[in-house]
Amino acid sequence: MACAANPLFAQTELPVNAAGKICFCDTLATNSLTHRQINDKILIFAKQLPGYEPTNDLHSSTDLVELKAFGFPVYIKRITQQISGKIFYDAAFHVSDGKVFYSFTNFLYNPYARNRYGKFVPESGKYKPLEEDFRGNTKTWEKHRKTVETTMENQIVKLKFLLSSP
Amino acid sequence: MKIKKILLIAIFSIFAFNLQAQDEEESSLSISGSVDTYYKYDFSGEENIGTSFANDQNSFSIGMVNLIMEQSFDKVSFVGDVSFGPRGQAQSIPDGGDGTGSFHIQNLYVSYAFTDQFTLSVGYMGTFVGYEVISPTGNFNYSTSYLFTNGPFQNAGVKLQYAPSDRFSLMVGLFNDWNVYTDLTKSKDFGAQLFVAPVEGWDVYVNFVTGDPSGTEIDLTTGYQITDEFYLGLNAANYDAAEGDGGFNGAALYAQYGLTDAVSLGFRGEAFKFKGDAGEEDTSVAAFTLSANIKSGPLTFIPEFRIDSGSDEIFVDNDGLATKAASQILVAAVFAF
Repeated sequence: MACAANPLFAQTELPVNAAGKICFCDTLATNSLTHRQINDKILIFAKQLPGYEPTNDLHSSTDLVELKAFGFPVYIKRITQQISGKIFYDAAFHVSDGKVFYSFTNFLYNPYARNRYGKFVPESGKYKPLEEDFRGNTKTWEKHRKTVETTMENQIVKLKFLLSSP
Repeated sequence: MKIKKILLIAIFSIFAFNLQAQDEEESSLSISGSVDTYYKYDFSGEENIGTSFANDQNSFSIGMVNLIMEQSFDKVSFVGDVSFGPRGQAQSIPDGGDGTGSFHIQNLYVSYAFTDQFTLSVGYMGTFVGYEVISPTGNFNYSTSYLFTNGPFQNAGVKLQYAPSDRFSLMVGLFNDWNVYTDLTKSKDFGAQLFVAPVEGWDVYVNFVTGDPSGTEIDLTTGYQITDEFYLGLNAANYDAAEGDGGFNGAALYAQYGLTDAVSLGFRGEAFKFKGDAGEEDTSVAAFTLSANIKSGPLTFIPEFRIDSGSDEIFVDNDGLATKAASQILVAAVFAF
């Protein structure tokens, strides 16, 4: 598998794989679920992931469910809450021998900026890997990394619950 | 003229037909904006370079306080964007008409997205033409280009945008004369914008606006984030006045390099020509601006050096005599909230 669990940790304790990339990944055992049932549950789960929209490219087969480069917004608080950018990531679920290997990886931050019409829009072509340090407003950067950690851990709890239920 | 009226009626008909009771998904009201202040010194000892903003000589001066409110309810949204201060008032466009110059509207419009692809916007909007903008948070350099200064700042009107993907969009609209809250002329300007993004990070806008007495401007604005650190932008435009031979044309190249997340260097080189009217000679000017953006959280410091060189003696020197060149330094601070 491309992403193995690794005890190494990045600066804000986001898990990283052997290649140094942030990766929330593990293998989960399932109890008394058929391959088909697991696959159906994974499909349902994938479609509720943060940032998923029907327009996203979702690849699925009997053994693999994969989503690439879909993102959820992260915010900063100024006078009011405003969008700071979007976190894009890949999600993959391999089903094999009654087990599910999941991975959330390739986290990229796409900043937003206000356009000439007063609206916040993505900055074209600017993507910063979440593994990198931010030499600037580190407080906001750390907050986004923390948001990613919390969001992904919540999703993993949901996934475990889903796979443990009949 | 008749075509413009038909287009106007058609746009409003589509809007009215589709404006039905919505299941409102209210987003919270967003309030954001900026403040900016600067010090400039022109080596002639006089205010010299006539482009917009940062004009005060040897003075700790202010730009503007910019307050922007924005909210969406499902398919509808509004933006209310006001500014207080010289940058948003007299240095920007004429005041609101009461002579007090108390404040200026930058954007005041409502939008209705009647499908995922079609959005109608009505009101007073920042111009779709050109590269630079009034807000100092939207520009890399603090001083502005001749192309910006001489082009439209705002276009009030109605515009329909068709965006079938995030790589392509087309906008058409009918607008008042440039930079006015109220159109006192009978005719309306026609405007259009074509946007394409050939590759990720490369945006290309072709803009067109025409009308009487506004004149006709065609404009190319493009920018490409070539690497994570290096960005290249280009603005080129031609403007012909509605009457006579006057107008302008020019091109500006923008190159920016990020040394770190917090420090970037940027260069703007511009060639600009005022077209002579009624037998007058053309006047050309070349302007070179080197700026740095040094960020500390929401605060950006912008030290800048600029030198302009004209084909004619359009500047003044230390003795107050006409000369062909001018240069200045400035330091600006822009806080975005």
